[in-house]
Amino acid sequence: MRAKIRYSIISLILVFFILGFPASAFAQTPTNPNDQVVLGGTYRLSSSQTLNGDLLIIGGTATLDPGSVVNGDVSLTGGTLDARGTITGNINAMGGVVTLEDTAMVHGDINSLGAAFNRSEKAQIDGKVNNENSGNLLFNIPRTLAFPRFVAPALNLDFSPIWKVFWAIFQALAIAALAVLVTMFLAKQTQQVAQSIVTEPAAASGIGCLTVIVAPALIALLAITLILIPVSLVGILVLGIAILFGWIAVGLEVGNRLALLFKSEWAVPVAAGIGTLVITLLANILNIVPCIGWILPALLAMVGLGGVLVSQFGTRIYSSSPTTSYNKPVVPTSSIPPTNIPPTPPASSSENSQPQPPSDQPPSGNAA
Amino acid sequence: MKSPIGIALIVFMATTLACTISLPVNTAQTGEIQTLNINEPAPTDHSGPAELNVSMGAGTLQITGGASGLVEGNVRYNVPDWQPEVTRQSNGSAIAVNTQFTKSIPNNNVINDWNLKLGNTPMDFTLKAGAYSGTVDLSGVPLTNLSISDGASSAKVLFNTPNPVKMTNLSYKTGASTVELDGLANANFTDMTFSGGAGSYTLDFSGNLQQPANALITAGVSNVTIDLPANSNSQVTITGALNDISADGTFTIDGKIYRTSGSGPLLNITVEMSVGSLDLVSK
Repeated sequence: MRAKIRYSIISLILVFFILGFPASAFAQTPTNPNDQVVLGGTYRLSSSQTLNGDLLIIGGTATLDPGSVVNGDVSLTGGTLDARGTITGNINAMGGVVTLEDTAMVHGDINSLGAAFNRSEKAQIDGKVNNENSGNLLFNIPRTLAFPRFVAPALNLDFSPIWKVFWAIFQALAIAALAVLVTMFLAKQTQQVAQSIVTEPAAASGIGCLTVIVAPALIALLAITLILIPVSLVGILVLGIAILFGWIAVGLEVGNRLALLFKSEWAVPVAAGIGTLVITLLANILNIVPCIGWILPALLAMVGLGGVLVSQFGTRIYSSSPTTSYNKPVVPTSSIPPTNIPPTPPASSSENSQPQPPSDQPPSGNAA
Repeated sequence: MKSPIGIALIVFMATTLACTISLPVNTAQTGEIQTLNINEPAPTDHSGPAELNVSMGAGTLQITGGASGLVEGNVRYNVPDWQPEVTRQSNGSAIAVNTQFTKSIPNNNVINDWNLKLGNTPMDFTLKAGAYSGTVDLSGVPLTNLSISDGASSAKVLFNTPNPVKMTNLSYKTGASTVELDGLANANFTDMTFSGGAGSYTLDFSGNLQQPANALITAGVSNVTIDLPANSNSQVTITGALNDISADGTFTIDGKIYRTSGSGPLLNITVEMSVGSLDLVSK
C-alpha cells in the first residue's frame, strides 16, 4: 500500500513536472498579464519589487535581488537564474543554471532536469528538490553531439540551432506528458499494445510497414474522389492517433525495461512518461544525423503502429501462437518412431537425485 | 464517448490544441541605428576597487582592455526600447551600463552591438547578458573580482596575459551555451566557480599560475573539456555519478582523482557532474 502511495506521488510529481514546464512555456495566451517572459534577454527584479505572475526565462539571465518577490513560478530553459529574493511558487529548470544565494526563499518545489543547481546552505526551500541530475538520467550525451553555436549575427534566433534543440526538448516533453495522460486513462490498453509488440514483433513490424505504405495511398485515393474527403481526413486523424498511441506503447515498454534495469518498480504512467521521453529525445537526436537518422525512429513508429493495429487499439493481446493447455498430456504422434528408453534405476542416494549435467559439458569442478 | 478510447481522443485533441504555440511577447520594433558613446573616467577619490556592471540582452559583445579611463566604447542599437543607460555613483566608483528589460524579442533586423574597453584601474567587473555572441578579452585587465552570467550564448573569454592584481573570485554562470575560457591561470584567481546548464564548455587553465587556486565546476547535461598544461601541478577531483570521462595526456589516476605531475602552485579543480561527458586534456 505504501509503495502504491509512493508511486502515485512519483506519478503526480512527474505529471506536474512534465506538464507544468511546457504549460508555462507554451501557454496559448498569458493567463496572467503580469507574467514575464525573458527570451534571450536580461531581467532584474530589484529589491522591494514584486512580480505578481510567473517568470519564464528562455536563454536569458534573470536576477532576483534580496527583498524582491515573485508571486508565481519561475521556469528556466537554457538560461541562468540568480535568486536572492523570494519565490512563492516552484522553480522548474531545464538545461540552465539555478543559483540560490543566502537570502533566497522558495516556498514551492524545485524541479530540475539537466540543469546545474547551486544552493547556498542558508537558502530556504520549503518544498522538495527534485533534481534529475542524480546520475539516473536515462541517457548520456553522445560526444559527437554538437551543441548549438551562435553565429554572427547572434540575433537570428528564429532559425538558430539552439531553438531547434529547445523545440526538440519541448516536443519530447509534450509527448511524454501525453503518454502520462493516456496511460492514466488507458493503462490496460496501452499495456496490451506493448505486450502485443513484445510477443509478436515481426507481425507488428509487418502490419505497421504495410499500413504505412497502404494507408497514405488509400487516403489519397479517398481524397481524389472529393466527396470522400471528410473520410480521408478522418483516416488521417485515425492514422495519426494510431501512430501516437503506438509510440506511447513503445515508450511504455522502454520505460518498463528501464525500471527493470534500475531494479525498481514504476507506475504505468511513470514508465510510459519516462520511456516516451527517452525514445522521443533519442529520435530527435538521431534526426540530427543526415540521411540515415530517420530510420530508427521510423522503425519504432512502424512497430508501434503495427502493435496498435494487431491488438485492435489495445483491446486484446495479439498472439499468433495457438493456445496450449498444460492440463492435457501431449500425445506423441504416430509419425515419431518409438524410442527405447532404458529404465531409470531407483535413486539410491540424495546425490543421485540431483539433475545431471549434459554429457557434452565438463564437470563443474573442472571449469576454469 | 464514455469509452476510454473517447476519453483518450479528447485528451489527444486537447493536448494537440494546447501545443499551438504563441508566446505572449512581441518582436522588437526596429528603427534608426543609434550609437551610445561611453567614456567613463576612473575614480580618483576611492580607495578600493572600482565597480563596473554591464548588463545587456541579446546581441554581440566585444570587450578588450586598453581604455584610458574605467570604461569606454560604444553601443550600436536600432531598437529604441533597448536603449542602454549609464549610471554612476557620485564619486564614479561604480558604473553600470544597462539595457532596460523589455518583453520584446529580437528578430533578424535587430542590431545591438556592444564594443567596450576596460581600463587599468583595479575593478570588480560584473557582466550579465542574455543570448549573445562575442569575445571578452580580459588579458592584462586588473580585475579583483569577475562575475559573468549569461543565457544561451557563444562566448570566448580570454586571459592571454596575466592579471596584474589578485582576483579573489571568478564566477561564471552560463546556460545553454558554447563557452570557451582560455588562459585561466592568467586570471590570477584564488577561487573560481563555473556553472553550466546544457552546453559545451571548454576551460583552458594554461597560463602563469601565481598562487594555489581552487576551481569548482558544476554542469548539467553538458560536454565539458578541461585543458591543463602538462607541466602544471593540477589535481582534478570528480564527484557525482559521472562515468563518461576521457583523459588525454599523462595523468596519475587514483579513482576519480586525476593529477598532473608538474611543479608550481597547486591548481585544485573539483568537477560536479552526473550526466554529460568530461574530457580531461593534459598537453
